[in-house]
Amino acid sequence: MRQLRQAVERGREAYQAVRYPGDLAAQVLGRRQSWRWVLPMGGMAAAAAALVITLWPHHPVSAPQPPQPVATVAGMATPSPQTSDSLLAMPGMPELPSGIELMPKYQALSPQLGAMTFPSYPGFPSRDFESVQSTSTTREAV
Amino acid sequence: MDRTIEAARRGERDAQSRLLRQLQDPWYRMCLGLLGDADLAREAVQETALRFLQNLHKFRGDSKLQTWSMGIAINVSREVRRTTRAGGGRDLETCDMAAVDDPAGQVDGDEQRQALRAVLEQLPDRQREAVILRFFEQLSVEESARAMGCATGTVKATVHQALRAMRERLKQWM
Repeated sequence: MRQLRQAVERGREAYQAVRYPGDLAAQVLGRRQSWRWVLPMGGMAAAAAALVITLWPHHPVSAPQPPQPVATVAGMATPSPQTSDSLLAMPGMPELPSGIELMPKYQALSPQLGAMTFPSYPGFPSRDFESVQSTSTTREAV
Repeated sequence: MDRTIEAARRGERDAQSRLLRQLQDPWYRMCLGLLGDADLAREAVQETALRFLQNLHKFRGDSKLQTWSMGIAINVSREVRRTTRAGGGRDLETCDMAAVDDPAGQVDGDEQRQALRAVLEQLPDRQREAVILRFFEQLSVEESARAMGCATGTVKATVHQALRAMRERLKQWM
């Protein structure tokens, strides 16, 4: 019993002398502090994303414009006097050279077409002979 | 102390720091005594501190704050023990409770401490908790029961069994 009591007293001395290695408050509260920053930042980011998503469809959508006739107006080809110095001035409309046939003639594409002739339909034998024969047979039977 | 607790409940960092600095050593001693590993004990103490701050609003002042918080440290240590045992974790050989300078009577003291450490390691978890609370932390039976979350009769019986086992094993050791 005495041995046990002595051992327990020794053990208590050693036990009481143990200290936590470090600063628990700094470790734990620092961690909590970092979370305290992360949560509001995350909330703000989520709110901003929600705002963008909400406002996005409300942007004015320009109605599709009918296509403007471009080449029909002869005056558009020449630049206006105000913008003649501008780099954005439109060049004149390109013109096709005259006197050149763009498409070959019809005969040139199929020269043998004119020479093509279809043969006549084959002739069928006349049915008069057969009808005469059948009439005579009928007369004989009778 | 009550003002500090109230301020800590309101989330004042200075008050929380004061409480943690006051409780870090008892928590660490308890966790080290139960887990026997300095790294595990440090992790357990940090988890204890987090839970302590989260649950501080539940403290009603029926007992000392340290006694109440020891319950948290014991629960955390039990969880750590379960997980390390389930994962084939470290044993209790690295317990550094004996690594304390004690020049006077060092030979005798070393032997006794080694013997006590070996005997404590062999005790079941509940008996080790009861011995540490009753004889090392020097809590009363009621306080020990509150910290362990059991009845006072259970503490008395557990301590009795633990002392009997320790006496037998110390005879074999010395």
